[in-house]
Amino acid sequence: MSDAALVRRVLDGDARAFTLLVDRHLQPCLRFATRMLGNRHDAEDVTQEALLRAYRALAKYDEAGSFRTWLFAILVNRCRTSLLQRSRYVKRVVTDEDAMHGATALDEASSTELRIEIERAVALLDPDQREAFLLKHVEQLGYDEMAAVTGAGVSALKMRVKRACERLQELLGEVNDVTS
Amino acid sequence: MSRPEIDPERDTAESAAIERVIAELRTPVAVRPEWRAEILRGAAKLASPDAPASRGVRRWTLRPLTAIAAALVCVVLGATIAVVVLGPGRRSSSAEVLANLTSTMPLPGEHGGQSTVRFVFVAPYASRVSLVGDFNRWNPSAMPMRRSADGRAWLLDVPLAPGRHVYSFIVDGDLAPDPAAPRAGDDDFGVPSSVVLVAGAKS
Amino acid sequence: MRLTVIRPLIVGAMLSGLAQASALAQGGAAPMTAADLPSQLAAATRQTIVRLGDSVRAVGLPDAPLYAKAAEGVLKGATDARIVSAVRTLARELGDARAALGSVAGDAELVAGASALHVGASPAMLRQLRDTHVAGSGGNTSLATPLVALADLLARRVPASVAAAAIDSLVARGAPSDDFAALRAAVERDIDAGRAPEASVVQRTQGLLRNIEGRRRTP
Repeated sequence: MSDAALVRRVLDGDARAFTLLVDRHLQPCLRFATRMLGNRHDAEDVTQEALLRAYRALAKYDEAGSFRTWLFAILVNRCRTSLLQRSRYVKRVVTDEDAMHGATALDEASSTELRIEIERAVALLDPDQREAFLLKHVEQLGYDEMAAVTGAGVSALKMRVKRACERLQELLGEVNDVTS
Repeated sequence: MSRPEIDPERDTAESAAIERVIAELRTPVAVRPEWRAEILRGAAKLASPDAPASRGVRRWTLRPLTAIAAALVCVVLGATIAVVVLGPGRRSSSAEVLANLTSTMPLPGEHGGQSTVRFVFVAPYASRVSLVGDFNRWNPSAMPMRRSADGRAWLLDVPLAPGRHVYSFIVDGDLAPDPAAPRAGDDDFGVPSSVVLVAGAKS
Repeated sequence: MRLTVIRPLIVGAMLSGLAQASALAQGGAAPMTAADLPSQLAAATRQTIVRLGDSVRAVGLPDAPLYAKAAEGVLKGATDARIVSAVRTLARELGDARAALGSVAGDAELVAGASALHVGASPAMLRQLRDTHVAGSGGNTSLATPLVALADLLARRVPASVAAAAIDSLVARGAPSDDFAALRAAVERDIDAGRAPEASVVQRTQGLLRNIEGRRRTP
């Protein structure tokens, strides 16, 4: 069943439809928020807020557009809000190793050191660039979708993604050399 | 759904390192079952999305509200003593009941020239809410609020001298104005506050 | 941002509050004094504010609002310079309010008057309200409520002359506090529903005036 159809069901009072909708989108939302904010706790808060806001505003979702885009617009907004408040983001990622290990324990196993390097590098990106990079390459939105989600123009977004890639290259250059 | 575009810059921007980064970041973040359950419970508690009682929380950009204040339509009944008391056991629609619950209002009765104002803030997911204002020196720890019986809102009854009072709530560390009260038009340092007016003898 | 300092809140106190049937807060009453200024203020800033408070008190104006404004600024993470500026402005507005409302104006009226001035009421409007008030009820009730209602309407971008005239007409008829609150609430609902503020104020005020008239007629 399409997202739009599920939304219609929810508006008709079908609570189970909302569960299905949530389960469909919860993972990518949490993933984006975690990568964007750098810690699971904040990511869970923000994702929860976004989903509940979306739920309350469900009547405003226009079926003509993608539900994921609509939902991500709300989520991106919540993340920005959160970042404005929690300016300790970079500090937390760089020094709070324990929290990082706690977060990794729940995720799929992979090289812990590499993961920490990558997450540090992502944390050091300018928020606009990080946001664009994550939307484009991690969540794999198209540029038009990204424009709808972020409110920025397509060429600006392309520039941000490009800069993000360049910066990540720089930051991870050493890792790349060591492992290649 | 749009497909990922073929990006002309892609070739120059991509490299083995970037691919590795992307692969790493695309790793799903595990969803904690308790957290998922909390979200679904939260939605179940809210009025259904098309309920007419909802009104968006007025927000501001610099100091955003994190707690989910389900701002419902409500009339701040102003400042007289003869105001509706929240009666238990009223049989009314949930929207109406919640609307009553969300209004910060003076309660009947006076205590030594002061009136008691009931402050209400709806925040089902907050861990702690406190009240700050010109009546407690904007001290965040002076007036912690208590949860309502159904856990959806936070309450506190405060005796206040007659006159205009500016206040706000602190919800899990973040300032939030009262969605159901008029905004203070004074200099608020860029972070909105709310006004409650307590009528009384000319002071 | 100073907000980070308030993060470690006392959760224990919160939980104990749950056990109480009615948590009546203690002491919301004592007005602030200079001694209550938050410690986060720099010494020089504190001195400036204390001096402002002293000068305001010297002319019989309430100084507590100044200290409260400073405390608000500290909580909200404003710079000291900003705080001083806000306090200075408030001191001036309190003075202007007193000039317009007269020396019999109580502290609550002055505070309300200052807030109205801050959002764009003119001293002339305040003087007009005072005159109307005195001529009508003889000044037994407080002007604080009408002034707060006026400030509210102005903050909602109701044209100043329209707002002032509406409030004035209600004051002239001796409207009770409830009416001002009802006016504000109705106008807010109208504006939220997309109506023009001016039209809303005019119509709602007329409605209230009719009600007052109606109540007068029925013994």
